[in-house]
Amino acid sequence: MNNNQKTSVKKVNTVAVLAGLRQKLATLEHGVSGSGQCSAVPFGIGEIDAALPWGGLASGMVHEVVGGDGGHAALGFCSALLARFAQDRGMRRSNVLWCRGRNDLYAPGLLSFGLDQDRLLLAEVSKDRDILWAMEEGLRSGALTAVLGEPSTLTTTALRRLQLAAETGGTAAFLLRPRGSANVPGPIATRWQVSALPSLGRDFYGARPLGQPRWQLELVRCRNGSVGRWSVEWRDGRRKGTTDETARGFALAPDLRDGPDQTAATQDKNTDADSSARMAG
Amino acid sequence: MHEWPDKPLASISAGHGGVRIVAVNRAAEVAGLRPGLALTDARARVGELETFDADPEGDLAALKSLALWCARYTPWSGFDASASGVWLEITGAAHLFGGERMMLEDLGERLGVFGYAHSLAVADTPGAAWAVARYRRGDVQIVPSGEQKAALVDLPVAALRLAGKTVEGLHRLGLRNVRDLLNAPRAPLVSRFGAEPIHRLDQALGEVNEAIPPLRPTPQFRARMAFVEPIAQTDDVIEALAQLLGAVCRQLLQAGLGARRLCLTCCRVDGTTQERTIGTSRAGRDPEPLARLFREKIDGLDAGFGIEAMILSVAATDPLASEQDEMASSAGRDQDQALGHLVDRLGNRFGPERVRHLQRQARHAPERASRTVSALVPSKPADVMGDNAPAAPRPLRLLPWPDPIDVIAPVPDAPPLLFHWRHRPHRIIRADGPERITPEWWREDPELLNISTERIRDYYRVEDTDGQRFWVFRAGFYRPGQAPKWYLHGFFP
Repeated sequence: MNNNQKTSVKKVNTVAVLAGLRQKLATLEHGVSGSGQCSAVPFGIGEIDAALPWGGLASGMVHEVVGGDGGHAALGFCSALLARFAQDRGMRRSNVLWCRGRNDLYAPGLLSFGLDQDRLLLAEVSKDRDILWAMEEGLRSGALTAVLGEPSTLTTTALRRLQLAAETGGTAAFLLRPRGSANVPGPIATRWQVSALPSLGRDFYGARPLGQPRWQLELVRCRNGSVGRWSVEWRDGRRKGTTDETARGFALAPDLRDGPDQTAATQDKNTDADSSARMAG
Repeated sequence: MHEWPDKPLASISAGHGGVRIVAVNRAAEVAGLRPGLALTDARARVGELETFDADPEGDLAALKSLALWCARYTPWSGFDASASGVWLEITGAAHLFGGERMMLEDLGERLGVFGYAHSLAVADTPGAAWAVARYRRGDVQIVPSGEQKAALVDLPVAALRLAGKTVEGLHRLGLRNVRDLLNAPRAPLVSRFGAEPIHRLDQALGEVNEAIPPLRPTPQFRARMAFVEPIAQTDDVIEALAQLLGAVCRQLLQAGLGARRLCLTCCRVDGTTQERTIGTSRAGRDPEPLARLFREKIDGLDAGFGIEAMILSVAATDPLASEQDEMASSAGRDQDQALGHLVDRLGNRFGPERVRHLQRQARHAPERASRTVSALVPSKPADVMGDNAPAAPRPLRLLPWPDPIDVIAPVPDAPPLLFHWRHRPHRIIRADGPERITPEWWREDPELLNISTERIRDYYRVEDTDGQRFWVFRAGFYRPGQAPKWYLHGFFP
């Protein structure tokens, strides 16, 4: 009898211990505080936020964005992400750092992605060593919400250092990498592949104007989460010469046939068929 | 410069009428050789004379570095190139070394170690010290306060820093020493030699004030630390620096100022100095972040055989209200400070021009509408009327100079159907435009003229089959029979 009771008590304890260990592991893995919640900045698209275990992009972690084509889609995607971090009210800070070798970012263009030039600090460094140093400094400083760097090569050690720095400062680290960059093993929270898609402008008396920027986002790696593939549009909130700040943000790209006004959630799995349909139309 | 006690030695250079002696050592001086003597005469007098070519630039550099090294004694030092001397203004500094005599003995000992023959004197006036150091025998001489006259009367008139011609003229009149000059009537002297002899005499006696021209502006805020044993470890330097920063920051706090630029001078035991300077984007007097800025620079410091003294001086300051230190609790201010420290750290590592802010400007030309400014320089308010985004979409990335492209487009004014950029064709399926951007005729802007002689541009936003979006423009008006020029200017994501 006594024996039996003991084992049942033991069983209960095992469950509790396991839960505790899981919690501990999560804390060790990605700096989640004791409450089990990690501050994150949501995308604003339910489907994508649901795929991410943090309900958005977690701060205090390293995110990798790999560009496709000319890389400008990835550049736009990163600008939009930085802007979301800069505007996030939960963090009580509002500055972001961009380490870029070239001085070719255009302030009016950044503004249409919601990134205010007053919130953006640029470090014009091109050597990988300097980029990583500047990123680490920025991540640790506690003065920023996000840091973006464009190193040409990465090592596992560098990623570990970035992760550690990001955790220390509670700041998100973004790595913008060219297409075809080697997949470096390391503590990366998410890895995105971004490529441009033809926009969905509505034909207008024979003219074919551009629609909103449309990108294919591929979440190819997500720690503790699932992968996915979406086609999204960036709405810059511009309407007849004025800008509506509230209308600015990501949106799942609507189906071609329904016209651009309907925001039907479309998990764009057959892009090829989609584009061929457009070519025919 | 180095003392060879036994053998006569002289430096020589080509002078008036042949090779002449520039400087001699003590042995040669005892043998009767003087600067200015022809080398042939000198050889006739002293057969074993060793000579080497004079190096006036090297001498000057050595003198200057010695004057800088003397910062360990006083912040106010200068040098006298024509007479190979170093001035030190030691008012208020001598007590740090146990009095004037102790200070001079310490200085003499160190100069001896460096191998410099020297003669040191202290007096109320620079002129008296100069005269005594050069014309009275003895290693360390101190002229008691107010007794310049007694010290000078027996010295030759040359001790008054007079030009050679003046000295000759005075000799011809029988005025050989300072006493003669003192007793001579002044008016005829002035009419004959100008004001120089009398002015120099008054300067030496203290009748006329004379300031030593300082090598460096004397910093208002400064802290100094000398070590009993020279230090060479980076940790020791950092530790000493922390104390110096603490002292300087206390001075700044009392003055209600913050440092914008700080200079650390390390005096090495070999009589040379190493300097490290840091700049900050905003005035600060918090020792910890300033120390962090220095730490990057100290890694490359060459301690040589050891550092015997460190001097920290504030080269530039800005007003800083005192409440900032006490009320740093507010989160926003913390953030501001943290950001400022980050900017400083990045700027001190990569250079201030590498850490930048974007700024929008109210300009028509797209390449003028955005520019970057150094984040370390306090930014002026941007030259923008409203805070709204531009009416038409603008690219995310703009080429600094528009890139010419080959375009197939219907004339006279239609968007391109196809263009080649960097040998790759882009077939256009969608296009917006044109948006005409005209030059700012009210501004003279030569750079705009360089980009294209046709200064009116029609911009199109175009999208190719892959969904890549570009900003292209056609320069100038359509003219029949003339192919329009097209340029690629930017990229939309």
